[in-house]
Amino acid sequence: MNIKIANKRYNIPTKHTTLLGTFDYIKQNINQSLTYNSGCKSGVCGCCAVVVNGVESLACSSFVKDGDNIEPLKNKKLLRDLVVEPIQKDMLKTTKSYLIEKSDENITTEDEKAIDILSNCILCSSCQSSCPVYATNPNFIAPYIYVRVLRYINDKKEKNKSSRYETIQKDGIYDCTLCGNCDIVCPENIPIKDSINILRNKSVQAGYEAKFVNSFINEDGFGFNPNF
Amino acid sequence: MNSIFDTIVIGSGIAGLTAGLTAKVGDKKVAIISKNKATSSQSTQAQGGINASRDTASTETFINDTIKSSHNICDNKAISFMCEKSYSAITWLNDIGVPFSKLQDGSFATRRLGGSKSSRTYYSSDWTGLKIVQTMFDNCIKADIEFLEFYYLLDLIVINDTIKGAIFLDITTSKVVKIYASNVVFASGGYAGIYANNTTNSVDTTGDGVAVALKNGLKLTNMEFVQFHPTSMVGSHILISESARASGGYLVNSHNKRFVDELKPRDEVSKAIYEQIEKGQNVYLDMRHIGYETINESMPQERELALKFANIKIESELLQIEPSAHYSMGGISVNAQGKTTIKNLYAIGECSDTKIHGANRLGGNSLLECVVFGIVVGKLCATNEQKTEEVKSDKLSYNKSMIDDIFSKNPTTNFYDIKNKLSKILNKYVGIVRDEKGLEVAIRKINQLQKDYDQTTIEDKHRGFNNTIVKFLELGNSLLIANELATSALKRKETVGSHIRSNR
Repeated sequence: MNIKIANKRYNIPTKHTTLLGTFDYIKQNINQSLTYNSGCKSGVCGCCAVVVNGVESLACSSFVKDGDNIEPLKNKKLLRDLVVEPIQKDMLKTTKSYLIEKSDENITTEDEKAIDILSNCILCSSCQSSCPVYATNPNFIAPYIYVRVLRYINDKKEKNKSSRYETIQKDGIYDCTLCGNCDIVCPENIPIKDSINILRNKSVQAGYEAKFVNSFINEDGFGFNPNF
Repeated sequence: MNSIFDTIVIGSGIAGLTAGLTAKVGDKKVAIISKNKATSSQSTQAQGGINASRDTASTETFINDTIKSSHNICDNKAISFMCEKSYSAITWLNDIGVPFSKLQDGSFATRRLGGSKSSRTYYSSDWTGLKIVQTMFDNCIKADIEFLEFYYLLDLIVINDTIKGAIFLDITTSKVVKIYASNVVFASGGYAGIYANNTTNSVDTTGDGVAVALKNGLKLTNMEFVQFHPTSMVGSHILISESARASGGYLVNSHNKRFVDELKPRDEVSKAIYEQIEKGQNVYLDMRHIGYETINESMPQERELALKFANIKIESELLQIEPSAHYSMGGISVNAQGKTTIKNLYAIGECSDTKIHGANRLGGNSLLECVVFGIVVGKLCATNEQKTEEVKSDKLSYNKSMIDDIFSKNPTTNFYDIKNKLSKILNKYVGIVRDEKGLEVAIRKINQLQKDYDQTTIEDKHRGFNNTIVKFLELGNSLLIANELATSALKRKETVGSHIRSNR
């Protein structure tokens, strides 16, 4: 079968294998320079996310088929072929994506469930790559950050929940168009769009102004106006 | 990039993150350095959980279970220390935000893993490792710990038996760099990944730290003990956690017959499976009687992995499994404070041999070791008031010319062929059951591969982001480790734990 990887075409034997298995085959037998990243081979390390026929996927967990076109993640600095830069840590810091102060509340099964899926993020950057807002505004807070922010706001262990709302207003929750791309591509099936919606509601409840999306066009005629 | 730190930690798994967080006090500068993304460590794959005991009586049983599982190849004091500190490790993790699974009344949920007399494994569904890693990563961001990602360890800078820093390959630029530190911590992971074609390990688990330690004259101990996990999926070698058996899962053969007590220690269960396979039987994990609800509740990841990689619904179908290389008990020899014989150089986690796991590690003890000894070593680093200084060392130019050689030479053979051959040799002669003749053959063949390796190089000559050279250097380390492993296995003539000698 024929597949295209990082703009190069490869003719490989037809075999039921993962995309990562195909990369390994090509690197070991056809083109040693093919550059990609991988780790656990089982979908938890977040290293091997790529774009397959326009959709972000983990190479270890997708299966290859004839005609596939594989590209690197978008909205990230490309290091080589399919490898992009690691996540930027400054945004995690400014949004306080960590436990600030531990409460003494008793945590029950229900409390734990409230953050269960939100704490499964593997930082693969698929959501950032799929995000049309991030594509036009690199200052936009990347989708996975909201998941982490909500994870700590929902965490009964956290005493200081409210200080995070301020950090996600500008270039944040109201700039999102709720297109849902991030939900589609998240390999851990984390409801990212819902998380942003919940953060909007909670942010209003915390006294922040509700801003509604009424204009996607800024003065230049394109892009997203963060100050609508 | 800043090249002077108080403490550098090599490896960003649970051991490394723990040590980094603990070493970061006041204005101390701490860096956690990894060859891949900071959150991509082997630790993320840990599913089962982390052991702990709360009171004196249960700690006593825990100590005895660990000693028994190690087949007495252990330091009783180190084990006692770890078990006594176990519950404080859980509360420390809990306090920094790890979302442990809870019971209705708010107490911690626990499960019983193989070889344990009681239910003492704390967990976060079956994503324990992932959730601990991600939560610790968040804490490191909070603490302003610097992450250096895509840096590959090449060598140590040692002056007068004291550590002064380390030499790395900056993978993004292909440049050799030096980083100075008053404390250096190996938290670089194990070496079971060198069984490349039959391992549950990440592709990154190639024993680099252990090999660099060996090259710098440090002692490696118990290298022959490699744990084969009983249940890895046939084909993909993806791990199905022990929590499957802890929840009542059976092991059955082609005749649908159970053949072993599933909750025995891993070495015994793996041996029983091996014997079935030798007799021509297939072996399956049978979860059908557990029910969808329980499976989905406590093992969502197992279910998903089986569905994704084997197209099997474990609530209604049998899942074919086999034992795969999973964990290396041996490593860099350290005392119960994580100290090596080089001053201010430490080793923790799977790369170290703290004499806790001996001939067979108890499930749930690896994460505990990472946290307990990560804290011990982190504190030692935090209290070292020595100021980091730049020193003269010929190690930089030595490593630069080594890297230049790799780029300038022409390949004689495809190094991936050597890698595949090494994996085959290890699985055939240094697998679950070993015999003298086979081990001698293995050592001879590994030495031949070493010669082939020394002759060849990479085809990918790109002097920018280049991880082909990392794969090549990893293979060099794997060959060194393989030789140590096979040599140690040959020396230990008796059967003990994971090291099964036959007289064939």
